[in-house]
Amino acid sequence: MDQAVTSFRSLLDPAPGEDPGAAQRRASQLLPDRVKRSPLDWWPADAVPNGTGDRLLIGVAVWSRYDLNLLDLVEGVVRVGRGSVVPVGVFELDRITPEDLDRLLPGLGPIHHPPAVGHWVGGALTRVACGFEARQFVAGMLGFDARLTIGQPVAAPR
Amino acid sequence: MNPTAIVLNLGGEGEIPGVINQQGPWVLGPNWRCSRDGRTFAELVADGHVFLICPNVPLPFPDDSVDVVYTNGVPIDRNATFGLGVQSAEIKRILKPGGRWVDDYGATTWTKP
Repeated sequence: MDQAVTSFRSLLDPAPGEDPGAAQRRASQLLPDRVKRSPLDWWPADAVPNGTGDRLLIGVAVWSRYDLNLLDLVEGVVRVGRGSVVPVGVFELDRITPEDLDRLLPGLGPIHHPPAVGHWVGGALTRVACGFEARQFVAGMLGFDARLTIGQPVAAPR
Repeated sequence: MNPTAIVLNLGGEGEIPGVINQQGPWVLGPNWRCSRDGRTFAELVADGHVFLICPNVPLPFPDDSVDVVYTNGVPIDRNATFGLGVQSAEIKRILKPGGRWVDDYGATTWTKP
């Protein structure tokens, strides 16, 4: 693995003095290139959903460390070819319209949390999910503990 | 912490104990689930978590009235898929002088002058 490739999670690490909104905007700008430097596929908003093969499509929010953790875990599995690995496409939820989301992941409906996930088998969409359920599904499919996606310790009130 | 301190977690789901969790009306929808562990809103309330349901703008707090604001994994100053995100101007408005905004599990912290 290219040692210069930083984690997806680190995309959201703020630069010194950077406010959170700016950190999120910067992470959004960096996400496509980071995906393209991974074994995952950057999925354009106007792309046609899967043809006849298998595919896992993951729509993430760059402001969610859970989603960025998920991408790191997915990348790790795909890189070593572990388990039932299928081609994985990634898009950013905030870049697309509700109409695009419905076209990419038909039947998902309004989502309450990121990520948004779709799984195609033999060209047929077999599962859509969002939020906690989506992370559970991806983790189960790729063979890692879904709790790792929320591994950030909780800050206690001070 | 001062027991009379007002501590707010915008977009909170109970991940920080003992604070007020602010959520929008979407939390009352039948399909809403906690992003951390899949609990329903009713289950979170039954577990003792306190919620304030209101839009992100304006936040129903007077100027200079809140001691600490937490924001963990929420869109800030952007239009997200889920609508208008948390607005930093609102956070800065409601914080007391000396009050703190703690973002993303402590990754950044801002103190109101």
